[in-house]
Amino acid sequence: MAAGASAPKRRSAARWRWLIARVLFMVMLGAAVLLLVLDRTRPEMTATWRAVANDSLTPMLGTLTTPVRWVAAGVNSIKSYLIVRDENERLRAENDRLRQLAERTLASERESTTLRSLLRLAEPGVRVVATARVVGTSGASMLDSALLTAGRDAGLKPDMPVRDAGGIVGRLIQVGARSSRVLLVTDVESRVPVRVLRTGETAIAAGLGNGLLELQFLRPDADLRRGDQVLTSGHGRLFPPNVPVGEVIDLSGERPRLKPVAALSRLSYVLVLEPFEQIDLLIDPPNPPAP
Amino acid sequence: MRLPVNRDDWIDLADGAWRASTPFILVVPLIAVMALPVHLPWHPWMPQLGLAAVMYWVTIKPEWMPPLAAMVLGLLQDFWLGSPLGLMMIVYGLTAAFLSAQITFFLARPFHIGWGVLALMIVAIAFLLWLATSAILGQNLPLGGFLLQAGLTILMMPLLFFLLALCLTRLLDRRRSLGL
Repeated sequence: MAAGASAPKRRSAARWRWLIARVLFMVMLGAAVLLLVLDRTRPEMTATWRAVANDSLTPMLGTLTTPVRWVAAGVNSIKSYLIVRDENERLRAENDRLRQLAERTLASERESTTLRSLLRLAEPGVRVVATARVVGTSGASMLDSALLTAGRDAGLKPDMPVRDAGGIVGRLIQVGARSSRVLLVTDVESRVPVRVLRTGETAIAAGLGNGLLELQFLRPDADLRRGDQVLTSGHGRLFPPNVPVGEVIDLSGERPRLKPVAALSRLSYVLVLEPFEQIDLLIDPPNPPAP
Repeated sequence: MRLPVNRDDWIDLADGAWRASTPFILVVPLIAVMALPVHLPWHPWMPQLGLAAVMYWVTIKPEWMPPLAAMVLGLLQDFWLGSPLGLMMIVYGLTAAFLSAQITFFLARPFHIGWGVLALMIVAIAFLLWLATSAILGQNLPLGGFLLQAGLTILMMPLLFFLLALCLTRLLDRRRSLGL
């Protein structure tokens, strides 16, 4: 009798559990949609939550990347041992080329210093705020970004430019206490004001989300060739001028495409720079010409 | 419900809690691995390890990965990988809900059939993610990256499932844990 009475009771409890689970699921789906909307409309609010989440992830990634770095270092050692002879020849040729280039650069620099002193123009020096290790990338998400092991504690702020030995990497978009996220120049939401080194033509380098960039707002009759180097122009008051951004690799499409010069797929250490807008260029305006 | 009164009851309770939380806990490091700066030399995308693991647990035993737990994991991925907040939360939740409703299909089929069906689901999810992300960002994103990621995920599935099955027998096999 007791067993017969408990069976409907159990069924009723199971039905309630099923109902509560469904309601909770719908509530969570609603919360997810609300988060999506908030993320687009109030990014400053979600950026704070993301920064806290990044702070929690960074120590774990720091530990997980250690064996990865050991393996990468081992592979690199073996690779350099195998190609040491070819590498020596290549480096010798490059050394000769660089020596000639250095002589020409020295002469240009002397001339430039003289002209700058005549104009009383201050050197647009770039101040490094911090050197940070890259412990994470967004390899499975829709955002081209990297996670750094330095944050507010190291003096970092949103929108600071980031570069590696090759060139511009991106700019900071989220800054936590001990970590920060860089929006890479190849992300679809990234825009960098640039100029072509050979011709001085200015344009905007926009990320394509597939590891490449394209040049936008370039004059239609601009003289551009494959292999042209593209540098930051210093416009937009964020990225310092004359930092390499990319190299023109494709002129066949509607817009020229660039390959980034920074090693975005194997970032290890990067420099976080002060935004260019904070650097005063003129010490003192030059004297007006006599009437 | 009977409250635990003796040592055996407490052991049963702890065993149940361990059994219920282990699948969830095992997916967390997989999501962290997706954020590691390691990927194919020619493309920066990693396979969807977290999503594949959620699929595995749901098709093995839906009670171990309810849609609510899957949504929490999706939210964690959104935070850690910087994707639009809430997007993977929805994807994980709907995937777990859909698969748990089809559990009888997966239990009655050999591995290669299940793998094929999950592969089709992964491709469909990649396409929907591409549509959703393009709409959210207001840009026409390249579809190739999403499909390549789906392909990588499908290729990684047998190895990942084997490793998770190993964890299942090592960590969750009751007879083994009791030394029988």
